[in-house]
Amino acid sequence: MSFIELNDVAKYWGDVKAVEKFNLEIEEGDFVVLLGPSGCGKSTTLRLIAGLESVSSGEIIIDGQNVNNLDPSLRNISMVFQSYALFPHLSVQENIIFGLKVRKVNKEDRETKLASVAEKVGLSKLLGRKPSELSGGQRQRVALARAIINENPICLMDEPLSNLDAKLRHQMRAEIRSLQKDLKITLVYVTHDQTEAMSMADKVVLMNEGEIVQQGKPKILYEEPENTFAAKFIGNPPMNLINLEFDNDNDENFIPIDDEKFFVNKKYVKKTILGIRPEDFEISKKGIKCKISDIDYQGADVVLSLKMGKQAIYARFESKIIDEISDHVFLTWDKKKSHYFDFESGIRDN
Amino acid sequence: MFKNNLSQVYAWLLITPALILMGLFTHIPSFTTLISSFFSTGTKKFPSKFIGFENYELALDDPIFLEAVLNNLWYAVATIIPSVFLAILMALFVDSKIKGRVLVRMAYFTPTILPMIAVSNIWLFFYTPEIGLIDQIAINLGFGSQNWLGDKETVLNCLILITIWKEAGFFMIFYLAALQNIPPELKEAAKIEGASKYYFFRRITFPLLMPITLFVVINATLNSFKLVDHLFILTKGGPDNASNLILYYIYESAFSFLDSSYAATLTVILLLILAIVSIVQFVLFDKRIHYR
Repeated sequence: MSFIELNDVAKYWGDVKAVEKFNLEIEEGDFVVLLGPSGCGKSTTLRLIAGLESVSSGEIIIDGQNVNNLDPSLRNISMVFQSYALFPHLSVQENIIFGLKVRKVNKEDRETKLASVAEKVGLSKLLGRKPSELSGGQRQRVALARAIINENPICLMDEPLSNLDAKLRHQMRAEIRSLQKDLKITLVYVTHDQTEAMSMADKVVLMNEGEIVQQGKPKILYEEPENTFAAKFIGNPPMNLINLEFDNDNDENFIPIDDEKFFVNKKYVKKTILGIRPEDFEISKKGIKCKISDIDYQGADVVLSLKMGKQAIYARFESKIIDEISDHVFLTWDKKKSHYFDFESGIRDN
Repeated sequence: MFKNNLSQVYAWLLITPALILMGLFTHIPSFTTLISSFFSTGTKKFPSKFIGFENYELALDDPIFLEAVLNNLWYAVATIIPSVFLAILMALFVDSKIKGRVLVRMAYFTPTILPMIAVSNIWLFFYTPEIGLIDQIAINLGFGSQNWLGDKETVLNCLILITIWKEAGFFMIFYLAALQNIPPELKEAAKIEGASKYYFFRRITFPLLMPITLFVVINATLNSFKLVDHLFILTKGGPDNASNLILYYIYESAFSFLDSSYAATLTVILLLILAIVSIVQFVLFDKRIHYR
């Protein structure tokens, strides 16, 4: 039995579906990221686990106990909110020990814990300040400190880094990750940022329209997306999805290039979608001629916006090729790195 | 240099209308009031002359004025505390997710919309002995009749009740606005930590409402010295000055007894009282207020 289990959980707002058919198992000490576009129900799922919302059907089990009707404070969780939810009139110190005071922890214990937590998140010198006197990153640390001081085994985070600038976000990612490993917390983390999800998670749960699209290790999601949604959502730029036409005479799929047919696969006997990651393209004289419409120079890499026939695609190369290209390139790719999806359902088919 | 001068001119032009209005209706009258409090009220035979602090000495020896001051102090304390308390309670109630809360909000706010004169007439009907609403109920329940407004013991408290009823709904609106400005995540964060509703109110909501409380308390204080419309309808300060308030006594001095300098003197004293009370409140509250 897993540490946290969601069995067939659903949540409706009146007639509107927020979450449905939600089955998830989280092992103790795992870093699980709920990933998806805005409005996909990831925050609602987190709030269901927290107990801030109640499930419409299904059950949530934490540590072997059904918590459907259990008060949030009894679920052994802490939570970090997107807005941090710091109490504006209380000092940093009072914010951090708020929960300890509620639970009437004695003063000595409070001070010891406060000192150690403040040390961990680097707030020792700011304990007397008000939240309004802190920078965004410092407020984030206060929220983190408040979450870890209770030593709850489970921590829930709702887009905690979305209000920070890019550099700070990068740094906080690493810090949260190391705190989590350090304290052996089971962390459920909500984000819409796939880079964040891929770099932090032990397990990514990709959601769309209230349902799980795919779950697994980041590597699995990246290398074997189960459908076109997963393929398009993960990766930057996302996987190229090329619509193949079916040639009845040859029983073979092809990419239409102007009036020519570029045959790619004999295996499928109906219209199919071909998926190729931008970095899996190679430049070769034997390849398909693609017109360059834009060059996005990113330092080490360069991303080309291309036209393959009438379809727009992206390809990523080392930036040294930039001197060798003119207005077009010839592309091939390793057949083993091709992904195929059913044209109608979008489901993976290889 | 020229440009700087021009912007000075603009600045003065822009504040002139407000300055004129404030001067005509606030500052000049206050100043002339102060001046005339040092003079005697002129008649044909005895023209007005400078008498120094004689009016003030008179006031401090005037038993009716002293009674009005004491009445007013009790009136202030007994209206402010319950109406603020009620306002917070009502605001918390209509801020929660109850059915028909728009109706409840309107109902709470209605007394504020009514003019004090109309309110007085409504309450006159409640308080009238024997045929009034309260007495009808009391008599039916077997209690005796009571002359609520005619009894020295009850009259002031009856007026206090009216004022609380009228003001609490008004103050509720401010508290409601402030409550809706408190982000709901704060409540959720506290809930996860296991804070009870009462604990959350005591440590989070109430402190965050402090700026509103200061505003409301100062307003309530000013109102308790300013609002005497109901006296004209209900008691005229009686019986035997038991419900006389400072402003009503000032009005009587000026327009019934036609002693305008004495009224001016009392006005200056009233202004002094209000200034002191307001300053004390600001200083007291300031340390405990978190402004966002």
